[in-house]
Amino acid sequence: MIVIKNVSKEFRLHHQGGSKINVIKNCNLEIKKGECVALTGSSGSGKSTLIRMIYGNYLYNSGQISIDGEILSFKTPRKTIELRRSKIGYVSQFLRVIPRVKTIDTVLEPLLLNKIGYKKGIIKVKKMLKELNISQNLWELSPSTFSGGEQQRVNIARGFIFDYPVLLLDEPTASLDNKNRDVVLSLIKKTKKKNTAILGIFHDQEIRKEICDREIDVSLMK
Amino acid sequence: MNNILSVKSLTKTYGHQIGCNDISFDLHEGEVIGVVGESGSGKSTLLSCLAGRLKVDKGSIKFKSRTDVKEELTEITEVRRRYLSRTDWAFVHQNPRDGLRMDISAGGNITERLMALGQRNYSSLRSKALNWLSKVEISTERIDDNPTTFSGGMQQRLQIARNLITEPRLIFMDEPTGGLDVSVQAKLLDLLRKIVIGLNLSVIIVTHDLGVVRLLADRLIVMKSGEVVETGLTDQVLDDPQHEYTQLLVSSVLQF
Repeated sequence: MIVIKNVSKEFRLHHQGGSKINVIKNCNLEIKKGECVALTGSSGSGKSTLIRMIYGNYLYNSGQISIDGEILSFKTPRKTIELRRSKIGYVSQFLRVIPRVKTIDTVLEPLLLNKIGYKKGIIKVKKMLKELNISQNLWELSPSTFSGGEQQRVNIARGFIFDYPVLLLDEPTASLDNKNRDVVLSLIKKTKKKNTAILGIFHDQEIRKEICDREIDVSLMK
Repeated sequence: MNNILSVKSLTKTYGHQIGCNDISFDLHEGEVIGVVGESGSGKSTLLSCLAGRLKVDKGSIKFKSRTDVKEELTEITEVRRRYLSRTDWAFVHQNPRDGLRMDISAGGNITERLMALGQRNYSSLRSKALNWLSKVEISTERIDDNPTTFSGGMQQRLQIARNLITEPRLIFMDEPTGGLDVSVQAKLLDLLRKIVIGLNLSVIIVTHDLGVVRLLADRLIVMKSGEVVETGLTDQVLDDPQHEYTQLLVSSVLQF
């Protein structure tokens, strides 16, 4: 589902003496349907960079990334938008809030973009928000004033609401208490059963043991 | 292809001074392109050339009309240009005073384009004006007031209503949130976002506010000294800028 071939990434900082930072060199990785793979490595080793490259948020300097047989390239931004709409779900570390947009609409958006009707969609969204213990009096509010954990759960709801074939998770449980952490774990397990290819960063070793099939050490991709 | 606008090698100079040089891009239907760069980088010149407000020196601008005919905008007559700018296009100015008639009522401002197209039924015009006032969140009681009595944010929303009433397909925006305080900006951005998505509009938005393009634009064009230095998916350009100038632009934004 996700195929990464000989991908390298370096950052060139023009305003800091033109310094070059090699983050990833010759990465080869394949993640199949229904597989959950964890990225490991110390902080700064390039885990989030790799995830962002697969989401098309960072571009790569050489090699090739493809999603479900379609090449993801910075040269074809419209294709990336289309792949994100239909194939790639992404839960980032932080929710990027759009001011004034209600929680319920924030979570509903991926469904509407995929032509799932409002009526059907809203039922799904309500179920998801309940499952993630987001109290009902928050649904009509914009998440901009929510606590970190609440924002993160809205973010998770948005990532899991549509059955994307590929799901990228960047520390989805980082700011959650144990109860909500368990909810997210069960969501991930359910998603795996739907044959989704999952690539994630999980700092908690127990979580990795519980849900992941393999671990890949990013610090070795140098 | 479903390009509503195709720009090839567009060049505009002011004497020896370069306005914009060799600009090429396509705009799809329903797509929002952001043009960013410092003042003097040629972004407003580009916008004015596209909307036919400035004469182009070199290059081609092809526009797909409602009847699917490709029109070369650098060669159309002034009559045709005026017609298109009333029906198919909208131009949202940074300063709402440039886009409004300050001495006629809000309702008159909103319906002027419709009247120019021959609509005369007063009650239908008035109900359309009321409808658009509420769409842009201006109290309908203000329909008979002149825009001089409106705040800057209200004037800007009135300008948007006035422009969108003929359901144009292509919108040019020049710093639509410039000069507004942040709470009013958020309201305006939310409104623009809803309208753009709801009506499947094609938009070219010129701004130096990176937050605005992150929210509204699908793709980004970065300009410096009249030239395009970087293009790409909006969040990719902002999160992983490649060109020296884009890196400077992105790193100069204050974080809070």
